[in-house]
Amino acid sequence: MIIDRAFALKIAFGVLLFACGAGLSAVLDNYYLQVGTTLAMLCALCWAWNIVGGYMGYPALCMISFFGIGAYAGGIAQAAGVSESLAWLIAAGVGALFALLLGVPLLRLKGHYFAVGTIASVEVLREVANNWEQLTGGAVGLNLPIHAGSPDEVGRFFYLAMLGLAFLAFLITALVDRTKFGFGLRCIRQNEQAASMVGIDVFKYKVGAFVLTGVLGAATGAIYASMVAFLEPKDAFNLIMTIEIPVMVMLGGMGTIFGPLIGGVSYVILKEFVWAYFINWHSGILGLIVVTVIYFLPVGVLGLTWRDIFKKLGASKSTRPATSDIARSTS
Amino acid sequence: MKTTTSIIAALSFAALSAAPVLAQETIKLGAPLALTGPLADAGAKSKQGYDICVSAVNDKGGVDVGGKKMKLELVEYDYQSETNRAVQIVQRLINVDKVPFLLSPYGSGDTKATAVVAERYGVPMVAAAAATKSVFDQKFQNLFGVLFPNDMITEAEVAYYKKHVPSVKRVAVLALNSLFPKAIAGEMVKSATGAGLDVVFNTTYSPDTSDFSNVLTQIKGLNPDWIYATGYTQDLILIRRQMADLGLEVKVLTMTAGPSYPEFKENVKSLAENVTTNSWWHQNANYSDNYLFGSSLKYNEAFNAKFKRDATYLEAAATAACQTLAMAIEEAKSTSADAVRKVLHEKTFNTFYGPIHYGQLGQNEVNAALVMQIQNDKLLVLAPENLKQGELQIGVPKK
Repeated sequence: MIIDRAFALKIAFGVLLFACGAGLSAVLDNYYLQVGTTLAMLCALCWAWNIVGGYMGYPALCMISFFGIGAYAGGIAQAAGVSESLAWLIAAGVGALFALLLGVPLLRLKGHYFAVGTIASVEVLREVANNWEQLTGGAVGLNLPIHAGSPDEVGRFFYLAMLGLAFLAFLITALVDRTKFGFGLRCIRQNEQAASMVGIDVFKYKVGAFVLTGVLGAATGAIYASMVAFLEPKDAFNLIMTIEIPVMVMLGGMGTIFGPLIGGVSYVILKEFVWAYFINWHSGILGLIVVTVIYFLPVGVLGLTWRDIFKKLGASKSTRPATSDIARSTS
Repeated sequence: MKTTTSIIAALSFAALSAAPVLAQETIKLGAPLALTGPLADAGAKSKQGYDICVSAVNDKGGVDVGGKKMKLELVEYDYQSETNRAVQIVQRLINVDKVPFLLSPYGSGDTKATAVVAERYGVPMVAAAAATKSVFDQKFQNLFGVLFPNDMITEAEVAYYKKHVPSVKRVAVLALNSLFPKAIAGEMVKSATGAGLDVVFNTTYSPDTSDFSNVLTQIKGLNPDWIYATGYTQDLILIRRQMADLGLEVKVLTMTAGPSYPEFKENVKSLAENVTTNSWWHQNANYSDNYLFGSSLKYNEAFNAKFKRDATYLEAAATAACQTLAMAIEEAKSTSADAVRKVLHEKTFNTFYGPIHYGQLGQNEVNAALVMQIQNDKLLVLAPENLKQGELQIGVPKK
C-alpha cells in the first residue's frame, strides 16, 4: 500500500467529513435525517459501483440487482425471525455469492455486451421476485418486522447505520485506490491484454471487484429494507436507479476516491432543483442536463482544474474535451 | 428588471392568497401525491378527489370542531411515484409541516411503506387506493382504508353468477402480473373454487403484452363458461378485440376494471356489449350523504362541473378518505390524534361513497361490491339487489 501526504490528507478529510455527518445526527430533525439517510445510501451505492465502473472501467448496470438481492435477502431473513444486524450480514453474504455467480459468466463479456447483460439481470430478478411468491411474497409484497423505538431513535439509528456503511465503502475505495488490487484494476481498464501480459490474473481481479461491489450493494439494500419495513419488486429493482448511480459517479469523477460523494450530492441537488422548477418536464430537462454535463465534463467534476475552467471560458470552441480525456474516462 | 417585477408580483399574489388562510386556524391534511412518474395518471385523479372534498368542506364553512369552524388545508408534495421519496415526504409532512392527519400515497405498496412511518408517530392516515388485505394485516392502529378487501368483490361476483347463470361451471382466469390484478385474480380463484366452480385456466401475463392470441387459443380449447380477465384498460381492450378475432364465445365475460372507464367502450365499440365488470363504487349506486354532497349522483355532478368528466371509484375513494376524516374530527370535537383515531375505528360513516366502517383492523368492512354490465352502451348495476338497474344478459357478441 502506497501512502503519501496527499493521500493521507484525503483520508483525514474524509474521516472528518463522516465525523461531522455523524455529529449532525444529534441536532438534525427527523426529516433532515431521512434526507441524510437517502444521501448516504446513494453515496454508498456510488462508491460500490465506482470499484467496477470507475477503477475497472466496466459499464456495469446491475447496481440495483445487488441492492435488490440484498433487500430481499435481508427482508426474508428478518421476516423469518433473524435479528436485524445478522440479517444485514446474511444479505452481504448473499450479495457476494450472487455477484460471484453473475460475475463468472458476465465478466467474460466486454463493452456493450457486458452493459446489456448486466441491465438484463435487473429485469430478470424483478420477474423472479414477482413470481416466486412463497419466498418473496410476489407482487403483493413482503412485510418486515418494524424497528421498535420512538421516531427520533429510529430516524437516528438508520441514519447512522447508512452513514456507517457509506464510511465503510469510502474506506474500501481508499484501500482499492492504493493497493496492488486497485493498480491491477486500473491496468485492466487501460488494456486488458497488456494487464494479463504483465502477470495480472485478469479474470480473478475482475470477479474480485464485482464481488466487492456486490457485497456493498447488498448491504445497502438490506438496511434500506429494514428502514422501509415493506418490500415489493418494483421498489427493490428500480430500473431508473440502476442508471442513475453510474451517472452520479460520472458526474463526480470515475475511479477517484471523492468522485462518488461529489457526484451523488450534486446529482441529488440538481435533481431537486430541476424537479422544483420544472414539475412537468423534470425528467426530460434532467436528462438534458446530465447529457450536457457528461459531454462537457467527461472526467467529472474532480477532473476539472482551474486552468481548464479559464481555458473553456476563454475559448468556447475548445469546449470539446481532448480525446485523451475521453479515453481515460470511458476505456 | 422583469424578473424583479415578476418576483414581486408572485410574492404579493402569494401574500394575498395566503391571507384568508392565515386569518383562521386550519386543519392540515398531509398528502403525498404521485404527480409525476409512472403513477402520474392515478396520482392526478387522487388529487382531484382530495381537492373536491377540501373545497366542498370549506364552502360550507369548514369542519365544526366543538363549535369552532375550522377550514381544511391540503399540504401536498409530489413523490414522483418512488417509494423511498414517499417515505421521505411523509417524514417532512409530520416533522416540518406538522400535519395532524395524513392521506396515503397511491397503491398498496407505497401505502404500506408510508404507513410504517405514520404508525411510528401515531398520526392517523387514511388510504384511498389500497385494497390488498396484506397492507392491513399488521394491526397498525393508525392506518385506515376506504376500499373494502378484494375478496369481497370476487365473492359477490361468484355468488351472483352462480345464482343467475347456474350453467356456469368452468372458469378461466387471466391476470396481469402486477400487485392488484394478481391479488384480485388470486381471490377470484379462491372464491370460485370455494363455490364449487371448476377453474380450468389460471395464468398471468407480463406487462406490455400486445399479443394475446396464444393464450386466448388455449382458453378457447378449454371451453370455459366464464372468462375473468384483469389488467390495465389497454390490455383488456386488446383481449376483447382478439377474442372476437378468434371467435371465442363465452356465457359471461368479466373484465376488471376497464369497462368502468369510458375509454373501454370508445375503443371496442359494439364488442363492449354485455361485458360485465365490478367496482368499489359507481355513481349509479346512489347512496345518500347527509354530511357533504347529498348523494352519489350529486357528488358526480359536482365532480363533473369541476373537472368536466365523471368520477371513477378512484376519485370517489379519495374524496371519501378526506370526508371521513372531516366527519371523525367533528364527531370527536377535537383535532387530537387519539380522539379522532378512536372515532375512525368505531363509527360507521354514511357517505356518498356508501357506508364506511373501518373497524379494528382499519380496512373498510362494509361490503358494497357492485356487479355491473354494459347494456345498450350504458353501464348498469346488476347487484346488490337494492341498487339494481337491470337484469343480466348472457353471452357476448361475436363481432
